Amino acid sequence: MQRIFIKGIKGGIGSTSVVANLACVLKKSDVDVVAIDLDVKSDLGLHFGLKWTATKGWSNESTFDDALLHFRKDSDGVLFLPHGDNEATLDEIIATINNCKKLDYKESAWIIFDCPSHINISHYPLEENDIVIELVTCDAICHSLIYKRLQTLKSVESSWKHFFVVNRYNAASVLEFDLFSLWQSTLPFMAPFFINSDEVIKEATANRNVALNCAPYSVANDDFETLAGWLVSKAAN
Amino acid sequence: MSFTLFYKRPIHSTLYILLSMLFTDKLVRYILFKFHSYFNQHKVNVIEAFLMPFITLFGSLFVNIKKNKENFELALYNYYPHLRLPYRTYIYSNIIRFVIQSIFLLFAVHKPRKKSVSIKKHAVNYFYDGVSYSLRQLRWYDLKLGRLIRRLFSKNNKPKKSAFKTMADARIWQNKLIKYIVVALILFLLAIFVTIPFSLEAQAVFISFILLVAYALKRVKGHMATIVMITLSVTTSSRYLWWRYTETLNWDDPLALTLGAGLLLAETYAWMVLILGFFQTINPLERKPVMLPKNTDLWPTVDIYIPTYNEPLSVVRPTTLAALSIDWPADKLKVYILDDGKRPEFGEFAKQVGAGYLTRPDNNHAKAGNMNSAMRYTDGDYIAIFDCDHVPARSFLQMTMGQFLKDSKVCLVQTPHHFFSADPFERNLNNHSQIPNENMLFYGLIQDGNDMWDATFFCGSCAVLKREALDEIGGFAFETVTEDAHTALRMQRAGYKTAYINIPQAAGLATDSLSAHIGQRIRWARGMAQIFRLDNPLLGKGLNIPQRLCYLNAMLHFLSGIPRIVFLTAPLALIYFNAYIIYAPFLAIFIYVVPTLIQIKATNSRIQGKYRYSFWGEVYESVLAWYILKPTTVALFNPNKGKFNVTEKGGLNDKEHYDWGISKPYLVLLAINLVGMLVGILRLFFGDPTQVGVLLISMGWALYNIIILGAAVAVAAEARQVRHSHRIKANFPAGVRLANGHTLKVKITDYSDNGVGIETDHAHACRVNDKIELLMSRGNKQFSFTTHVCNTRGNQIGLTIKDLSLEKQRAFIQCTFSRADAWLDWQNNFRHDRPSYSFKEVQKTSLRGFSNLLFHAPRVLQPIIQFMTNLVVYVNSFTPKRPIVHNNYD
Repeated sequence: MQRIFIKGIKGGIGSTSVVANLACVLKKSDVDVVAIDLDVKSDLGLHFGLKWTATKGWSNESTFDDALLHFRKDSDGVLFLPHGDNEATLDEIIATINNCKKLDYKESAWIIFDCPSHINISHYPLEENDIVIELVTCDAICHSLIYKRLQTLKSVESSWKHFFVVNRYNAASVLEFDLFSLWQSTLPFMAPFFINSDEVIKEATANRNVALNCAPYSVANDDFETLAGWLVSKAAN
Repeated sequence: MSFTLFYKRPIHSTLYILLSMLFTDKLVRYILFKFHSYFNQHKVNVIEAFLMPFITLFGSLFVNIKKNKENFELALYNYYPHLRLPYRTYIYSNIIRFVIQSIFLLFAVHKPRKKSVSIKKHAVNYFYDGVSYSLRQLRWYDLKLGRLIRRLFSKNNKPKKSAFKTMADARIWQNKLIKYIVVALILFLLAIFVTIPFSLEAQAVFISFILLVAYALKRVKGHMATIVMITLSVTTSSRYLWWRYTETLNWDDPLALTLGAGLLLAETYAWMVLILGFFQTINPLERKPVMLPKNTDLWPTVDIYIPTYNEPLSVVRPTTLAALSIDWPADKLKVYILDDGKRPEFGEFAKQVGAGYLTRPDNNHAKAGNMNSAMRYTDGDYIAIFDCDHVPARSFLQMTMGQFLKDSKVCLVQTPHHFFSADPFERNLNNHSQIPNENMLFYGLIQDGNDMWDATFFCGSCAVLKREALDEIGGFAFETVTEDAHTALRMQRAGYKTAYINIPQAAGLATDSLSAHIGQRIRWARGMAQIFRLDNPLLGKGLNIPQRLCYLNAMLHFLSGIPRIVFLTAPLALIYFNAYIIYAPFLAIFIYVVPTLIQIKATNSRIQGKYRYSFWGEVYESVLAWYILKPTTVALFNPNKGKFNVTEKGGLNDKEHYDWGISKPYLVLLAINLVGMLVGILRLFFGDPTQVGVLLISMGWALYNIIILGAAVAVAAEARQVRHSHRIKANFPAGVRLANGHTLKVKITDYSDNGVGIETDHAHACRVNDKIELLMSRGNKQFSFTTHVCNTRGNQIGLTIKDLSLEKQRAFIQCTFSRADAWLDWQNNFRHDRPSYSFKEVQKTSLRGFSNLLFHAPRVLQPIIQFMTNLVVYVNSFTPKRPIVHNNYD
């Protein structure tokens, strides 16, 4: 099972949308995909068609076996586990991550974790094969945050695959264009693509669905497919 | 029948009584009803209205009219499609048409010969199978023989080489004596075949055998078959020429002798060009690009020259921006605009984009002088040259520089000149990208053939030269008007090698109008003649024999003026002056001339099929013949006369008009030939019956000339150029972002320097005047361009791009013109040549030429022409037509 941790470098980057869209795109190639919501906002379900009134998730249960009952399947076939409305501690989150390893799936399955932006990724029990994607947007704040993050990555012996991916990219903005060119040529761990800013992601969420189903002809959809393909190649290495 | 009725309608009642004596009551009422209907409703005259019911009744005796009424009408329409509707209005002419068509249907049109067709097809297939089977056998033996020889001769095992190559490279050829013996043997055999006099029957058998083999080889692919065809062509054409020299000159008649000698010289010219052409193109090299070393420190420095004189900045801008975006280390690449027009806006533009700007105090020696002066201020190891409208792709240096690093003796790498706009032939004849254009033969085939013999020459643009070699020969040559070929010749004499990569890396504008096109060719012709006078490639040291022959062929190509005129007027000698220019009986002419021509055409079609279609070469030559006559003859005698006239580029042709000035020569030739045809017809009927055979051949030849000249005339009708910026076809993906934030994946179908055409299934989302953001990528970067929708048509949207900043302009060029795959499909659209189909195309063009003439005729003649056309159309409506046959899958 390939584990992917997706986290925004700061709040509001759009990490949950990326998790949902990525999960659906990966599901298209007929592999098992599981999405786990580790964020107390518990909004992953909204992307998969879950109504906001369904507020219970794994955080409301004391054991993982009880949490299994909260797994749901969306119409595309993606299995997802909502967080629930109980604020979970860091130890509980770590326990959930470890328990997910016990899920019975094939080698080719993907588990995608939607991580909250305020928890440092190095607290998680990460292993060598795990891929961590830190989402950024092209602006000065993220620029500084990336540099800060790179410092900590250097100091800690990072034993996982860490990448930065640009979200909500708008080529018309001169600042974004310049920053992206700069990051491409100077920063390590930068993915060679970006996810375009596209209205369809907002509209899809309004439909409680994902961009793939609402607008398969959009450029953002293409970008998610690029992301999925790139992840497959990274996972194979 | 009441008496009152009789009183009110006397005629009706009289008729009624009369008819009731012969027919039954029902019939009488029917007759009268029909009569009234025809007379009153359809306004037919009395007699016919009265007769029609009788005719119908009579017909009904044989055919069940009611049942077959619809079928009858349909059948009438199918079998007699040319009856003018409504039938009754043109009743008399329709009757004549009906009769003629019926006779035609009875005698001329048979039932579909299904059975015999299949037998014929069967026989043809059988024949083909037989021939290809024997050829396969031959190939198998050849293969076995090759393997045997390879085992015998080569010391080191190189199993990848073909038998042909192994034989060709075997050590036995190093021995000069063996070489001479074999060559002498071949020449001896050839001499026997060529000079042995055949009786007419023997010649007929011989030539039909050759034609059979040629026809059978049509289906066989591969190089060996081409070589066989070439050998056969060489044999037949040499035989033909020998026969002409020895047997067909009439020494008794001085007029026939002079005219005959003229024709013979023209045919000798054609034969020489043919043989040299075979030699040149027998094995095109198709050189592959060489990879550069991974370490970019080893890469040399390159200067890019963009010479310009009076072209507008809008033409030079894309070229400069694309040159700056060529993939090469930035510190090793310098772009210079060499401006002979000394215009300040060019200097400003160069400064803005970071290109160099060089001028010189005078304008001596045009482009060559410009580049020589620039060489004083630049110091790159290599110089790449682009005409100011040739936009290079980003991969230009990657494709070409490897050759220099692999072999230090290489001094020139040339790439093809590709045009993204239509040249005058294509534009005026409206066959852009349906027929290969004129320069495709040279850049697709001939230069590749030259490359095999190491005789590639510089064509003035889209090439890279070695600075060291240029310094050695003293800079660019400026004594002739084609300084490019002369420079290459000098470098080759100095011992350097040249290379040609047959992958287009740049594309530019073709000449705008026919007159500009002809002007350009005149310059090339004059320049080649000057080179031959001033620095003759046949003499002097430094070149080997194949190189000399290739240059000779290039030169001979431009001497085609006089021979072409001779060919266009030769048949008239017999018709007008009764001079037997080919002094031989009609049968001999028929057996010698026609099969040889067919054979040569077949071979040429096979060799050149992808690059030039049959018969179009004659059209191009005819267009140029008159105009390159004078400059080449003058230059041959006095090479220093004549000036360099610059070809204009980028003008706009806003009106459709006919260029009478330039088409005068064709019109004169056409008139002579047409009158000749008429005279010939008269002589056929009223002249000496013994001469009918030769007269027919001459008239056939004159007819062929008329068709070619008609096509040449068609080219002079200048079509209107609708757009100012030329559109280039493309096929790569991009994205758009609409005003509401949605993105769409689109496909770019064409672009120009200020607009883009896209195609998407969601075109309905855009309306005219919407502002759309176009997202195009180059590598990892995505650029966004603000565009406006200017039109939508089905799936396609046209976007205009206005007022881009310089950075955005550069980005746009990088995303479109500069793409490495931008010109790769320059040849892929063309099917291989099919001579008969190509001739039909030429015929159609010729008819178009004639109709153009009539259409654009001066006002005075218009009424006459109108009358004549109407008359012809009317007479044509009487001729029988083939009945319409509906297919079963309708």
